[in-house]
Amino acid sequence: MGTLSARGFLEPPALAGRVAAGELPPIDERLPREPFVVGPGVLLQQEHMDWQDGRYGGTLNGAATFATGFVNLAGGSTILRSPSQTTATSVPNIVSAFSHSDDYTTFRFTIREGLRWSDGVPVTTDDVRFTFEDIYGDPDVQRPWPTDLYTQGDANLGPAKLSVTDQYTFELVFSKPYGSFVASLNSWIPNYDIIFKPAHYLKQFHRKYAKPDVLERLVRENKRSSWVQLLQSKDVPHWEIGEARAMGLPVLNAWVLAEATESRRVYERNPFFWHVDASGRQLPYIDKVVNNIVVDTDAQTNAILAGQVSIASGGEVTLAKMPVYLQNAQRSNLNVFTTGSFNNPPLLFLNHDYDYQATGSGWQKLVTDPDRRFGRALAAAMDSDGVNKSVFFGQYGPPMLNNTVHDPALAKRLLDEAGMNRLDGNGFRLGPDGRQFTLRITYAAASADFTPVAELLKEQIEAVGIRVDVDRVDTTLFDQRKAANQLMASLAWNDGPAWPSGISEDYLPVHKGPWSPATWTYYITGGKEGRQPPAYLKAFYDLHTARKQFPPESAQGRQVYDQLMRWLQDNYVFIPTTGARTTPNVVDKRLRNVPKKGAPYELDTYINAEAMWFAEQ
Amino acid sequence: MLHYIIRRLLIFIPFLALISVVSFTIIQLPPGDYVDTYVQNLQQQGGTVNAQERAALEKQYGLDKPFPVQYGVWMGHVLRGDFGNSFLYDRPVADILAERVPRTMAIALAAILLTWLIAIPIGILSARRQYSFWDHAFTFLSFLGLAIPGFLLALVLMYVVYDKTGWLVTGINSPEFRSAPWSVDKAVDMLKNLWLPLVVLAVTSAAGVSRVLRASLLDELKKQYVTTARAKGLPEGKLILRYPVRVALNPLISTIGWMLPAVVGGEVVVSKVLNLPTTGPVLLDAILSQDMYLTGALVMMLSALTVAGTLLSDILLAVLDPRIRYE
Repeated sequence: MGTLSARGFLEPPALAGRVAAGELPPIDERLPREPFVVGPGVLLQQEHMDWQDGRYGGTLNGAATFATGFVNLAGGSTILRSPSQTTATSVPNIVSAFSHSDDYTTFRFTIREGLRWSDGVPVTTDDVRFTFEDIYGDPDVQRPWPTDLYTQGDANLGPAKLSVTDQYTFELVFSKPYGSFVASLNSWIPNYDIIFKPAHYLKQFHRKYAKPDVLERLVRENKRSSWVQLLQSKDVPHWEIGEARAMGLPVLNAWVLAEATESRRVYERNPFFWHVDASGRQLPYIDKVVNNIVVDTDAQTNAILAGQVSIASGGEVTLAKMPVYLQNAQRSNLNVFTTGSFNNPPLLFLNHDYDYQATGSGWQKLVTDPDRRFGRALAAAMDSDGVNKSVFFGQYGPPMLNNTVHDPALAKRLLDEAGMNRLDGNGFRLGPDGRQFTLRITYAAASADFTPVAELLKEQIEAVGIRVDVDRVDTTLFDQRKAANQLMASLAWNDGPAWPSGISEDYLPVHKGPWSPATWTYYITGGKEGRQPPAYLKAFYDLHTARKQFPPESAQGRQVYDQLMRWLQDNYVFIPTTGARTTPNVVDKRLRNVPKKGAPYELDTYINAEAMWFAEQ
Repeated sequence: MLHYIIRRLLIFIPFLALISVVSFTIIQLPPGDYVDTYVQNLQQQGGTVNAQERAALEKQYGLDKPFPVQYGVWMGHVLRGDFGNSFLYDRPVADILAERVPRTMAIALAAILLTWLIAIPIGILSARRQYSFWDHAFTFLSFLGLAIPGFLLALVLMYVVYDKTGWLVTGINSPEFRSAPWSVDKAVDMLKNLWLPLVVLAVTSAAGVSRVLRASLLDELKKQYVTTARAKGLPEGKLILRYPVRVALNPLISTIGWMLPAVVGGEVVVSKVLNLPTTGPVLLDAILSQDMYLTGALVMMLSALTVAGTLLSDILLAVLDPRIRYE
């Protein structure tokens, strides 16, 4: 252990050389007046991670099929921070103080004094003003407002209005109560860059600030066709922070892109990262992140098995490969454990807008039945446990939402009552309109488990007499049919476990599988296009708007969420095929401050990478 | 001859223009465009894109214009030597090609050379000693070689090597050398990784080539000029290599035409399995994500190489075989 600085911090050895050479100010001058202190329970709840203050050094290796890779979501550089995927604690993170009016229309922020971009330039309200006025507010830039900045996420209600008080303090004002904005501020999905963009860097690409001849030269040098394209490419969203064009972009993340070649991306520690631990070390503990680009997921798996990867989770690993991870764990020094997931397993979506313009449609009769007997029958026919055992090694959770009882006899009775009591020549039920009925389930296989799940569903649902067609299509075609309202039923994932915190709301009618695409169009166009929702669907939109008014994890927010969940359950717009997802995580055995087995989200393994450190072994 | 070559080269130009129209049309045929792919990727990671953002993206990529206009813009740039920017990689297409094509060519030419080194001696031996033990042995092996798909051989070899030695053959260099400057260590590392794809590519194609050579050589060996030469007392080795083998190589030379594009297509599957950064996987990714400029450039290039390769083999045949004349 080295010597502490005057302010009580420990200079990372990796930076000591540059500090000594005078290229970098010493640590006391790099950190804001009040740094953000990370310790037990800050990044992840205490029961899910045994926090230990760490030591500096090491390289985190990744293997990804795309430039950025998931590792770079790491850093937790959100405006507010709550442990894991929650949004209730809302500790000021980039900002040092945060408050809101009682009606959730005005949000007041104070930027951490002395907080600096990764190139050492202070973060001030000019960065916010630039983002609002010169990026979103300048029609020439062609960068529309992100959904989170619209009042209640609704473009019809207009974007937030910015008022700057001084160098560090600013306010955002919305036209209606928008408490769920708190979730956006806590979420890594919009991250900090919807509000804070490095003005000092981006101004050189903006016509308003740059000298015309210099800008023209930059456009040419970067092989873009106009300054607009140049600015758009240099204003890199955090999803693409590993793209070559992000070289030189000042960030607020734990690591900064330092090398972008065709075969790998290297990130080095951000000397100005403002997180510290209780013993005075600046985070991240690990000096470098190397992301080796592999051609496909098989090459990725090979790299993981051979121990070339220090951390792999999320979409980079699958439960189906668990046996090979374990088989190679010892040889390659891997720690393999399972956690919960940010995603639900495939859900069966029933499109309540399908055929809505046809007169006497059998499908419409089934889905609008006030007793929802068709949906209940499908749920009773579906064997959640069977899917779990056959496809997921019995590792997924117990049945959930509205698929809790497997009872084919009940399913048959409900279908009889719903008007599907006549059979065709092949023994399948006719629709309530007396015509042949086929439940067509369309899906685009986002992962390898879709096809076996779809086949099992077909078997289970046909066992109660409904003819099922399973139709696997390409993602693009799936999206087109979804947009054209041509999907009767579909299978898709979503971010269910992140709904209560408001980080995700992809239960909405078209966000994953469509369950009411036409009324959603009506909703977002303010009634100009689409289908006016019938009373029972309108109830959903009322709940949706009501939920937007409160922070998702406040008492009122929870109350509306419970009602919303009940609505989703009772209306059978989607039915889970099995219980909550379990997913593997593979990390280097020497890594510490890693989530424990059974932690709720695999994403936390990446998002908290700033906290990880290598123990010697 | 010169007249013939010039005529062939002139036909080449309108032919390329035709190819460009066809390839651009084919790229547009599947539903959706690159923005769809982009939005899906973002959604899979948890992000969302609203309608305004989507429209801005379409405008940014020029996808909001009708198809003939898009083609016109593209052609205009291509004629000035600018292949546009790849959407997927966000880099000039020309840069991507400059990086990958030489590497792909090198691997493939090495593989072709290795193929011939293996196949030609085997073909000659099998034909000279027809129905001998060695002929049967090599026949059996080459049928195996023909029957085993390259990717499977690659997978099995990779697994066996990893399981026995703990060495994972992947990519051209191991991760730690990928960005290192060239050194002896790096070259050794490259050989440790590259022998496997070369062996896989060579073994699978040598099987076919040796069969072809054996068959055509057998035809030649029965001909009267061989008997005459033998009767005149020409040494056997000199005789075989100088006359019948030279004629029997014709089929190999005429296949250069389609070997060249296969070279740049880069044995997609093998490259995928062995994580090789060649043009093959890029082409596949570009097509899958509807990165139209990159796909367009690659398809044009493959077509141009097919045409050039055919011309090359025609010329080589004329040079090597005095019986072939074009005028």
